Amino acid sequence: MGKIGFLLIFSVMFSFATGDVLRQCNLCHEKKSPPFNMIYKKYLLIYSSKKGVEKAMTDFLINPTLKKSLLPKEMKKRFFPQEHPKFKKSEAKKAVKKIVEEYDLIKRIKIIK
Amino acid sequence: MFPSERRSLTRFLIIYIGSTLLLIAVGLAIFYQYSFHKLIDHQNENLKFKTDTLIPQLRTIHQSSDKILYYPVKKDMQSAVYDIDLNYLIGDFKPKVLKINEEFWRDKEYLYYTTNVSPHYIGAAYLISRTKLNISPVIELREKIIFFFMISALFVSLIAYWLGKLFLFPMKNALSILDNFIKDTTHELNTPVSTILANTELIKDFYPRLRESDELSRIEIASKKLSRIYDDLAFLKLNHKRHRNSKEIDFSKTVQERIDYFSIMAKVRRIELKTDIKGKIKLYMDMEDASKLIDNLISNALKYTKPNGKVWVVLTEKFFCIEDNGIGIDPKDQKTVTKRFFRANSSEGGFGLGLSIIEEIIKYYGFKLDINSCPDKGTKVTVLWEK
Repeated sequence: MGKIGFLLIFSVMFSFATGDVLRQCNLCHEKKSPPFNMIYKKYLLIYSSKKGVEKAMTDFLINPTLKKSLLPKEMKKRFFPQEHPKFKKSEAKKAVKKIVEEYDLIKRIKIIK
Repeated sequence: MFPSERRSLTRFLIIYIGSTLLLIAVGLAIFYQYSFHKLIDHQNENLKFKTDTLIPQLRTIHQSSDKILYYPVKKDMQSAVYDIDLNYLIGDFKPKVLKINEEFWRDKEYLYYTTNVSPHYIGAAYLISRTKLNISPVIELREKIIFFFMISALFVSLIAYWLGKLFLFPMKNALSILDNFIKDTTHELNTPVSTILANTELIKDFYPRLRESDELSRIEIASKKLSRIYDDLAFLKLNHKRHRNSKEIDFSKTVQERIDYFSIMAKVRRIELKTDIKGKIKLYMDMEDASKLIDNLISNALKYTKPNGKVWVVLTEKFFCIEDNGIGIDPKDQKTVTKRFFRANSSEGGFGLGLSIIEEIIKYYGFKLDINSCPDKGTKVTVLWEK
């Protein structure tokens, strides 16, 4: 019953969500799951380029599996939801782009010569 | 110094100094390359060491949760960060050329170092750093090498000159002895030959019946032959010291006089001496040189023509030609025929100085010499007046 309710809430949320995808995602990612800045840094550490990061994140959101998750093995058990919401390709791309823009590390770096 | 000695010494010096300096230059070039790379490698290692300290600082930035982060700027070094797709991310310089596959490279001003960053802190896959190329040790090295090369060149030249002199000493000694011998012989020949010739003339005057005697003719011919040898040797020995008194001379008259002089020899050898002198040919030259030129050409023709042969002497406004039907000159010897001491036939007398003297005179006055010869058929020597 709980699972059905969870999926229902997400279905409703994503059916309305076009511009504010991340706010809905934050419901979990700010409390229980790792925050987006951590996730972005983790992806960056592995995929290096924005293009690579975007592709890997989009792939995950379209078909989120435990195998694709970058969480350390021990943390997967603890944080990875049994049913991570699935995204359509266009929604996933939009969400990922927003994450990449918002948490871009390079923008925060200053050079003082 | 004899001309041959100078020539040998020059050749020896060129070969010895050239080859030694070439060897030294090759050695110095190898040494320069080795030292240059050593200096560059040292600077590369410093750059690498400094660059490697940047990676932990990138990790710190990556892990930091501060809102504003600071890129690590190093003194004497600049760096740039690229992602895995070679997009420029950040840095305190942007390279104009990217050589990702080369660990170290350099341009005129800078040394560059590329290192892979893994894991990719702040997305960095490649970290490229550069530092100013310190050229002063290289310039110092070049100056030292050039200085060493100059000193070597000077030292090698001195040694080469000393060695050359040392090796040429026996040759110089032998030439000097030979030179003195010829000088003394020439001097000693003069008096007896002059005495014989003078007394032959006196005998002819005192005893007219002996004027046509074969014995006296042979004495006269032999004495004249000796006298010519003396003249040739004296000409060669004193040529550089002799002052030429060039003036307009009647060359036709001189030719006729010299033909008369050789007529006895031609008669004794049963050689027909035919002359064809066209007009009065005037030339601007030294009388002694003119006589030497004519004498040597006629003497050679008579010497190498068999008994009952013929010698033609032709003089025109354009040339002076002596032709004989004698033994001729072998084709392989025709190029060296004017060299000193060359003799077409060693059974004949003389020292082989005739054509060498002719060539010297011809060269001095700017005439041209043409020799046409066919073995066993004869020789035609032409002196062209054209300049």
